[in-house]
Amino acid sequence: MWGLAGLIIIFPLLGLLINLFIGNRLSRKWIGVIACGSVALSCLATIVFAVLFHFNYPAEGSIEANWYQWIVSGSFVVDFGFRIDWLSLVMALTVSFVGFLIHVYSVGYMWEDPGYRRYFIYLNLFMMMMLMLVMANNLGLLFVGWEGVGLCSYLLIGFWFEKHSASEAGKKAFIVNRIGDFGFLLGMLLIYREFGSLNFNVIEANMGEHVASQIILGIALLLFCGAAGKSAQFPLHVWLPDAMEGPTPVSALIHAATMVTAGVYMVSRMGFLYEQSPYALMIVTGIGLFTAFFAATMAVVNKDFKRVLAYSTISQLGYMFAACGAGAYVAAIFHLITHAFFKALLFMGSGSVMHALGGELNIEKMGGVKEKMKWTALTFVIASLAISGIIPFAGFWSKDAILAAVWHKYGPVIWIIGIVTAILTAFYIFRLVFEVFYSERRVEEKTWDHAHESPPAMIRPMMILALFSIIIGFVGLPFKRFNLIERALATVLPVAHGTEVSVANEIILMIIVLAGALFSIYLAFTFYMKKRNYLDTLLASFKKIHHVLINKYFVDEIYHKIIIAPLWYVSDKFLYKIIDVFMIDGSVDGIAHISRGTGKYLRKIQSGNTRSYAFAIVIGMLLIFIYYFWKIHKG
Amino acid sequence: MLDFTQLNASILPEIILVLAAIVILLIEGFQKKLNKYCSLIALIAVVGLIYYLISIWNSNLKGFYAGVVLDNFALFASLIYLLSAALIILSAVHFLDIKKIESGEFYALLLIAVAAMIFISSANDMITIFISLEIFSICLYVLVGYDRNSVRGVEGAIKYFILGAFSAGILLYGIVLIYGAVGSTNLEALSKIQGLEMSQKILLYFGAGLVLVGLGFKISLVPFHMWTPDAYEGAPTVITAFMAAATKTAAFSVLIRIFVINLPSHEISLEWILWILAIVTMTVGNFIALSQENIKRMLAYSSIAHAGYITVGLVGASGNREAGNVMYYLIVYAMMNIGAFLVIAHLERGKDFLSALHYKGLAYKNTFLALALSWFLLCLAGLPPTSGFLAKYYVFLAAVEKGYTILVIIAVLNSALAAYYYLRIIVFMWMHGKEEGKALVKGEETWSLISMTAIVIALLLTLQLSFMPSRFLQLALSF
Amino acid sequence: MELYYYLIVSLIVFIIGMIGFFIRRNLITLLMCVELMLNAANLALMVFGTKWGWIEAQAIVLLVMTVAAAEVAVGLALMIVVYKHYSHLFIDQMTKLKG
Repeated sequence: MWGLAGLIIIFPLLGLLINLFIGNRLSRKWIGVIACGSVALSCLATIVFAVLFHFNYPAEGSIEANWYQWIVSGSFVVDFGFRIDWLSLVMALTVSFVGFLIHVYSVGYMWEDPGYRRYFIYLNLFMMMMLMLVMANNLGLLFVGWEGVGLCSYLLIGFWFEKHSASEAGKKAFIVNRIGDFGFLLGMLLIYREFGSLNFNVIEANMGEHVASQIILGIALLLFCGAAGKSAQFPLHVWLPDAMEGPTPVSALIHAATMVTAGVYMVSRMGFLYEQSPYALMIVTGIGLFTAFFAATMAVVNKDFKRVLAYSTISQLGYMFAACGAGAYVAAIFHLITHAFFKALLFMGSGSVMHALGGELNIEKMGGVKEKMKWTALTFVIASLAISGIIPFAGFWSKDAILAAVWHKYGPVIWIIGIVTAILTAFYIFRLVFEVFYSERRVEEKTWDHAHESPPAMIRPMMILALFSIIIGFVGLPFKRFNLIERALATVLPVAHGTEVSVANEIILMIIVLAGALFSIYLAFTFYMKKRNYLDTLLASFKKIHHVLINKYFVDEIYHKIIIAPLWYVSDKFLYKIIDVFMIDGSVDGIAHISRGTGKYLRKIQSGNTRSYAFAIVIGMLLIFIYYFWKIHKG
Repeated sequence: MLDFTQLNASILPEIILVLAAIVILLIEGFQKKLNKYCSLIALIAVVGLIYYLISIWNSNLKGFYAGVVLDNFALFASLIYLLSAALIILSAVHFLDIKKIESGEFYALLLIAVAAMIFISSANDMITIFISLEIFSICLYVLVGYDRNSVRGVEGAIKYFILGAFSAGILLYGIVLIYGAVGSTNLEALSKIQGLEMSQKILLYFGAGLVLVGLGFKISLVPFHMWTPDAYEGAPTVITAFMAAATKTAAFSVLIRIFVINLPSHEISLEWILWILAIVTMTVGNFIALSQENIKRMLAYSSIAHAGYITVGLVGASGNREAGNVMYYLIVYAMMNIGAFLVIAHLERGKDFLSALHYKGLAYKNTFLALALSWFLLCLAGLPPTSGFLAKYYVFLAAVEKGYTILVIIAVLNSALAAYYYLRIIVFMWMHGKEEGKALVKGEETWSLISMTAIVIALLLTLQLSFMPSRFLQLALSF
Repeated sequence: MELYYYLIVSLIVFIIGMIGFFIRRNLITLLMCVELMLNAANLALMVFGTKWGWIEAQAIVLLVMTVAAAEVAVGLALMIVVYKHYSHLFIDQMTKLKG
């Protein structure tokens, strides 16, 4: 019966195939129905399986459903199999539910786009890959989903390929992710070497055997390298802000709610391994918190609506990694879920505003939008309260859980970074709220006349998400009895024992977080609503810092200088030209030509001269001979 | 004493193929009006043989005083040649028709080449290896220049020919030196050698080095690779596909027979040479492929890079399992590469449409072809869950287990880099407007059921190799 | 011991063939250089055949010569086609394919 869990993945595949092969004969409406319907069926299937799982709860806490052996090579076996436990179910539920709402929203958002069908094909492919990623019972299959979502993300960022910036952004995302994947792949190879399998259960079971701690550290860091690429952690964060070139629902689904959280999921899944290596945990928390703070500072000054949200996503992902590193995997997954809801909602709000204002993204040219878009404004404010961590909205509970865990594991100094970031978060998000929706209107008259509330297909999903942004936090109240999410996930994830926070402490921490958030909302209110001239004086006095922040700490420029440019130089000038020239025209003539270094000559590379080809062969032969002479000489 | 039991079925496949080739030549010579059945005869011979070979699996035929050994290894290699040849024949019907090239000898030469390749894989004697290598090379020289009216084709052919002859000389000299060292040209004699004197050792080392050069030329290892892009670009596209898939397999199967099974590379300290060759080959192949505009040339450099990955599998390979992994890589590589070339051949018409730019917006003109080409390219790029990924994973894993971690790190880095140029084509196809590319211009479309069938078969084979690889893997590992 | 002199001759012929391959430009000369290399190999084969007392080496020499003849036949045919296109046989000037 559990093999049927594969249906969760099959449904989006079916939707994708229908739209791919007969979609050109279907009307827009039906394409949308098929795409949304397939995801809705996945979501339903997940719920059904969650219920079944609850009533047939197995003693070992998880069920494996193997379809068949995908890779078999001696002792090395990778199953095409799923793992059903609370972690995969909760993740699949979040992904398919948020995914479904975003599909519906997309119908409204993309209705007029000529690439409507293509868009839904990609989106369904993404859902399939993402669900495969969370349901896989081994790292091999997880990696398939991992690469698959990367590919979809790449295709969707560059969806509007007519825009040069969009295709560039797609390329960037792709390349940065490849760097991460490289680490991931090596980590996988190492895991196989050490544990003899890629199956999560087997790895965990073999964990107890003596494996050198350096190797565990190495594996943990390599996997984290993959996670950092996918989840946009410093220093691999550069692709995410540019990924905002894609359609806004894509930003909501892939670059906020689901795909970018795959890294957090993977680290939590491998939590038992990270627990073995305190250094790895420290590094994960360190990078996580640093990224959280670092991205938040950039969000404070950026003027692009969606990019602010992108930095905010990076920052929140940093929180999740910080929680992982503090051993609070449950808190990380909890924050991942609440974040999926409110961040998707924030992006949908931005999409709605863009839709109304003809694609405008600069927040300095907005303001007062509330007048025309009541529902968008209302839902956006709810989401903002949630992300700022205001009681009783969802973000409050999850963020509180993370900060408490960090306090416990690493003490107050580290915890303060978390608090400062939380304060920054509330500030920049309310900066958006005030600048866009409430301050005086700076929209051009012509645009303003066309501005209108979005169609119901877009507004209704937003309302549902808003509702969830309020209530989803209650599944994880910080008191043992009521903490449903912890009770469920603790069956899968490692939980730190004996470090329960006392109730009094917990309440004090909560109050500090809350006070900080409220204070910075007040600050944002003063700067952006009451006294806008404060802002100018402030900017004038911190000109240098502002310059650095608005240029994103020059990270892109640094990468370009130290990595991309030399690489190009090497491949373009060195390997392609000099080496080939040298081998082909190994004559004095060739060297003279190189020294002349004219572009005209450089076209003669693989010169086409057959005798020089033969020369290359002989050079190779002589090198082999030299090696052998040396070898024989040595004995 | 002549022992007639030695003349057994071990060379039956070659006999059938050569007979079919002779029949085709006779038809071409005397019954021009039956010309269109040439392809059919060739196809029947090839497909029939595929079934025959599978039916004699595990029978380990030995003939001609152990000069020919039709074991499972040879059978698997033959399977690759025959599958490739079948796909090529199907596609060539349409291709030759469109390009207005006479067809007759084409199939005869192809069949003789396949026969020689089967011979080389089952050969157990270095002289047999040399002669069969020459036979299929000679067929290929002609096939590369088969389109006599194309300057590029002829130029590619003459370059391939003259360098091929050069490398054959080197190979022969290597074989002679090895013979001088051990006193026999039989491969099994190589596995029994011990206690060589210094002078014999020197002869053996240098002979092995020369043999490596000669075979390295055929599989286009850098720096013996330089003919590859030129010959691949000049040749008719279907022949390029055949060369990339089958020639490489033939030469690798010989390398495996010599340097893995009979004379393990570490015994003659060859493994570090292979180590360096692997790295240089894949790096150079990938870097140059990055800047190619012509899609055939790009795939030529990609085939060089793949030769590098396969060599990773040879480094430190010391047993049947590693050899099986390499054979699995070869069948995967053959199928995905042929698939990609078949789509290109299908789109090619009177004039050449071979620039990558021509593929812009293909997805909106013919979704199926674009989908198929994307799949083949993803396979070549080695993204999971494609067969390309699986094959790479096996090969790299074997190398890691042998302790060649640095080599594998470089190989993984390389395949990460390689993804870029494959995906570039995919981006062109899917992310550009309908009007931009010139491939499949309206009115110039050609449609051929046979050539489409070939693409579909290649697609199904790669899908099976990706998702249900165990059957082929068992075959590959079954010797 | 004098067998080694023959071997050295064979090596010299081989190297001459190889060097000739670089310094000559006419296709036919190149082909002759390749023939030199093959014949050097044949000579070496005879030497080793004598050394190991293996009479079949001489048969192999004949086989190799046959193969070489076949190769030359195809090569000359190709050259005729080349000549039709280029009106010369200078390998250096056949550089349409490159890069």
